Amino acid sequence: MAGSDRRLARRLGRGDKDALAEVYREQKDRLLTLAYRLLADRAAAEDCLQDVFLRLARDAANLRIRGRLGPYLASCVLNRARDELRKGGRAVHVSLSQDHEGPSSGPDPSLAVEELDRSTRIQEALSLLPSEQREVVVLHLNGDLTFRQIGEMQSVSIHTAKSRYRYGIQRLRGLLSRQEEG
Amino acid sequence: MRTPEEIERALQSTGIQTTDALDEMILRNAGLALDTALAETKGRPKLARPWKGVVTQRPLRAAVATAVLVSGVFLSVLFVNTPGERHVAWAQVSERMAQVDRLMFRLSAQLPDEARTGDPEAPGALSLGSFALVYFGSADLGARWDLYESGELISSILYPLDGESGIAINHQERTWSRVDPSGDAPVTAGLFPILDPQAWVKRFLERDGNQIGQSSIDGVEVEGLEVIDPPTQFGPGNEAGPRVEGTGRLWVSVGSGLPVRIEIQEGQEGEGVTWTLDFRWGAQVDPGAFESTIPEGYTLVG
Repeated sequence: MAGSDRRLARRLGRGDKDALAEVYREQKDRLLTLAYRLLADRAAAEDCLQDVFLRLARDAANLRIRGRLGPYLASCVLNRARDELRKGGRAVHVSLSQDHEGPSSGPDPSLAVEELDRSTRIQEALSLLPSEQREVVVLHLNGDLTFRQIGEMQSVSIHTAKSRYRYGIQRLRGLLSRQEEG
Repeated sequence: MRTPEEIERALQSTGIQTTDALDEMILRNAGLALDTALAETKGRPKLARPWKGVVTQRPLRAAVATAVLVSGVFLSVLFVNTPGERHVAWAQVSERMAQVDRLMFRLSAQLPDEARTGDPEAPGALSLGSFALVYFGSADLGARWDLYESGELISSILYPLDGESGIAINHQERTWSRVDPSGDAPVTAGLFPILDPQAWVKRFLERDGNQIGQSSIDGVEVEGLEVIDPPTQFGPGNEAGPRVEGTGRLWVSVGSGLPVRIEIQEGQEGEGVTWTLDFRWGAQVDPGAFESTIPEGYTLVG
């Protein structure tokens, strides 16, 4: 996998647009979801996705990846999201009353509504986590990053990253249980 | 959703998707950016030199020494903001860098097959295909090195500032020993200059470097400096050591002025050792990481 990703990166470096499209098709939904989980704003998440791919294209000739492209791009999304959150000085928060564009509609409208509701509740609960726990949870589950990679990105040990994940999941569990009871 | 597993599944199975219009816009704009970037980089020479394995015999020592080199390089880097585009200034000395009292970096090395044939019994040698060395340094706590092979922790060296000596732990053999910074044990010989890396800065910047413009590493905007004879990896004071031929690139964050990564390709790609060093300045450091705690059941040797 890493080898094929390095080949893709080399093709990108040569200006191969098919390689760019290939990377985009493989990663777009996962990265958009990751950005959305971090920013809790669909428009901001789309901007983030575009920014990451613009930067990837602009830097393709000097691209250096040590492993797979997926985690690399996920780390770019995280950095971009952090910049956005710092720039806006805003905390991540989403409300059930907020316009929400959840998962695309499936063939069964009732299932789609149910899925949308579940996605919205998850997003709301995520927004209540401390940022470092939210990052670990979504980077691991939506960004496919290992705890070691996340630890490096957060400048903490792998053990701390795992602890943050565990606490994050526990807290999500409590928040979602309260939602269901309420 | 009652269990952690259900929550994990829910997080993984729900998400949002792009629209066709978004796909079209991003691919169009990214394609244009790709064309522009390619046009700008055409004509820039690739710098590389054939090189025969300098570090094949003692990759651990080389790794440590290279780590020293890299941290030293950055002490002379300072960034400035101009009214227009921001750039890194390369000739300033360490005043600003000295303000950052905590550093973590990860050094990883990919060795070619040739390097793996080195004698694993040679003093200080580790015959590894690839490895990583993680360093935590703190002005108030001390220093710690962890060596990994394929993700497995092989050895650790802890050197707390408040102690008279540090300890070296061999996790494979479940042994430990005391480390004297003035000693010359093979593993420690190259380590301690990292506490005074100014010499490395000087040596790196003495070379004729080319500014190679701006790029991005993990989403961070950086500016690069490239040399075709990166400093040798044998530490300050060892000028007699062989010079590395290859390409060395130093990338510094345009935003923070702090180094982000150094890359050294010895010889041609795929032939020599490739070093990658990633830096985290002002990193959060767990004070417990510097405590000289011997794992239970380990035997004192030496």
